[in-house]
Amino acid sequence: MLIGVLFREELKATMRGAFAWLGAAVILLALGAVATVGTQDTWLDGFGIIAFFLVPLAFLPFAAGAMANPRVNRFVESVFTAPVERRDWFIAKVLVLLTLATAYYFAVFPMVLVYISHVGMPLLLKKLLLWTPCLLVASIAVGTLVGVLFIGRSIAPPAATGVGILLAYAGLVPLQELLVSQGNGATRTGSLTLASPAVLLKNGLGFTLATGSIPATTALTWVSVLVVVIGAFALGAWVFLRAQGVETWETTRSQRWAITLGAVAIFLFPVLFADRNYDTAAPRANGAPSISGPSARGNGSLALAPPGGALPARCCGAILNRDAPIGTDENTQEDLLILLPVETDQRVNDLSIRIVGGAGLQATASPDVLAAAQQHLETHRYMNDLGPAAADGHHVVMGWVARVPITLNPTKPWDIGGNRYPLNVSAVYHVAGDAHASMLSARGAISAQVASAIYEMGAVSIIFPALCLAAAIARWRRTR
Amino acid sequence: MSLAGDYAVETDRLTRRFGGFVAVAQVTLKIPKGHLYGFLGLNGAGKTTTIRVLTTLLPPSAGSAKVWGHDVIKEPLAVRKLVGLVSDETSESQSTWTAREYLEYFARIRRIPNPADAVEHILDNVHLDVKFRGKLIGAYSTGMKRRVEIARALMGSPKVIFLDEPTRGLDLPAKREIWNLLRDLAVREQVTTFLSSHDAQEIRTLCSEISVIARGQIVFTGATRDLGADLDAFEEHLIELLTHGGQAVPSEQ
Repeated sequence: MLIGVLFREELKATMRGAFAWLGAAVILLALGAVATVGTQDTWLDGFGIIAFFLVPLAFLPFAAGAMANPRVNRFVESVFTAPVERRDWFIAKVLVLLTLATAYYFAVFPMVLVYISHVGMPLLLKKLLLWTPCLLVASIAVGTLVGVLFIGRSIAPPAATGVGILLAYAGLVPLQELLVSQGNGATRTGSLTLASPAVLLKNGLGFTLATGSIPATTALTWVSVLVVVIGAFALGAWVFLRAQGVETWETTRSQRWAITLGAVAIFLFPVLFADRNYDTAAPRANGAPSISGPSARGNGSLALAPPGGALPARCCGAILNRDAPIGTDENTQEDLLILLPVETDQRVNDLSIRIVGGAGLQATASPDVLAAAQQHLETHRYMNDLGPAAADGHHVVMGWVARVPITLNPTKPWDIGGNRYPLNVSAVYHVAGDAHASMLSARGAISAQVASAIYEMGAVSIIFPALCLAAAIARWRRTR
Repeated sequence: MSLAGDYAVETDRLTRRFGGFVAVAQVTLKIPKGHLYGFLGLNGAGKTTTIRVLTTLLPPSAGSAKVWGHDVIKEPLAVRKLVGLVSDETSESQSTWTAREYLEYFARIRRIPNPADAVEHILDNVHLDVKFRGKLIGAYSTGMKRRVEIARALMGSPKVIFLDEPTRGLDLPAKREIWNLLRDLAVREQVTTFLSSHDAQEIRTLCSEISVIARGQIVFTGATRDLGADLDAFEEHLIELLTHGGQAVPSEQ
């Protein structure tokens, strides 16, 4: 079957480009770097958005360029003076693009496997893994149409149009999330965002990146996706085979109208008909616990320091170890510093401390240490009114600090990095001269990450770039 | 009266328009099999458009065209099996391929058995040095690129080979090498060669039968010697034809 021969030859031809293997190596290396760095933070928000959303959309200008380029460089003149059906070549070209998209999908899999091995398959990853292939197909469909529509001697017009559509499709996603967050998902602007297949697919698959609502129905969303994908492929194929010659437009007036109406329909159908009833709460992306004010800074009552270490200079945000996350599933010794809102000219008696970790955080302190906390009170001078607020409202200038050596073991991580476990601390004490006991109740968060993930991610993310680089070098050596 | 099958190329009032512009107007040609036929005209006269119609790259607006008896519109695949095209840019566009890769691509899509062997054989025929065959085409001289194009056009043993300005951009020694190659191939491969050029010397050197096209119309068809015994006379007649069209020397068609 000639399609099979053409497919193999076109696939080989694609990888003969000046920067084909090298380009693949660079792109995969950059993605690997993002995946590796992403282990230090919420991986799916960083790597996920780039690898599962932006790069698949980048297949749109790539497909446009790949379809237009053989006409730009007149390679089609050689192909179509050989006994080749234009239909077979078109199918082979699209199959090559789909194959490269599949290769890309599998190239990010080693990183995904590292992630899954540590934290399982959270809902967001499950959805992203479905979103990506759909986005790849949609991007190739629209890119193919764009590539077919441009006949000329420059690759710039189809590539620039592809990039423009890519930017529009990508930009409409945060706009839709913002509008839905504000309850404006069904306004005219909200409807316009449905022109992006990325938005349609997100709605259809029933997940969000930031906002809290998804459409209650998805039937018309899926119909819209099919209209865009099948419509773009069908219109592209029809234009290529029926309205164009090898390098020329051969349209009749009615065909010009049909092409215009087809393109308008592909754009307008989702805008007019896709579901926009954002009435259902979005499912939770993962098992992360809700921690109020995790990004708040200053005036907290808790701090974390290395054993015997001083109170951190940047003190005291809700996240106690923002700059030094600890490893999950391993014991880490730290000193928990409880900033009592009591000036040192007042004595503190009968100090009793209770520490409880949440969401899988095991926070343990020796009972002896807790019992002897009273004997190990330290003093600290606060600058610039940053001390805790005392009972009368003034900020403590020279206050008592209880140092409690604790062992932290964050278990059951729900992300590979950026896990934030709640830590609840309560302290009951008597201030000399005060008949009633005082109570301090403080809530903080411990930042944790899978400690070995950065090395594992770094190792696996280098595999495919290294193979591509080796292929590039081998070809360079062979052909020079 | 000859049968259609007796001609390698046969057109009847072939016309091609681009919008309101008529690039080729009612061109009628009858080119016998086995000839090295010249198609002479100034830049923009309609030579390339005619070749593109005959090689199925461009549909005609009116009239008909047959190659080896096959209609270019009704039987495009049959025509493509029988033709090879050499234009001046395509292999340069594949500058990141080696000659072997480039030719193997076409050997495979033409379903030629043992493509690797076929490529080496055809590269031998066009005298491309073995040491360059695995190098990138981008590193070749213009003459070498043209040899690769000719090799590609010969792939699959075509009956008719169309050469569109095959020596454009070449210096005289390189031109002469290509001319010798074309003469040699015409004899050895028994292929009908349709040579389009605006170079009077080239056409006069290689072709015994020619057609002259000016502003899309055939203004002369006949033996090369009918336009002059030497190059000067040939060029004088030619200039007259090209500037005054069919008024000075009416087309025989």
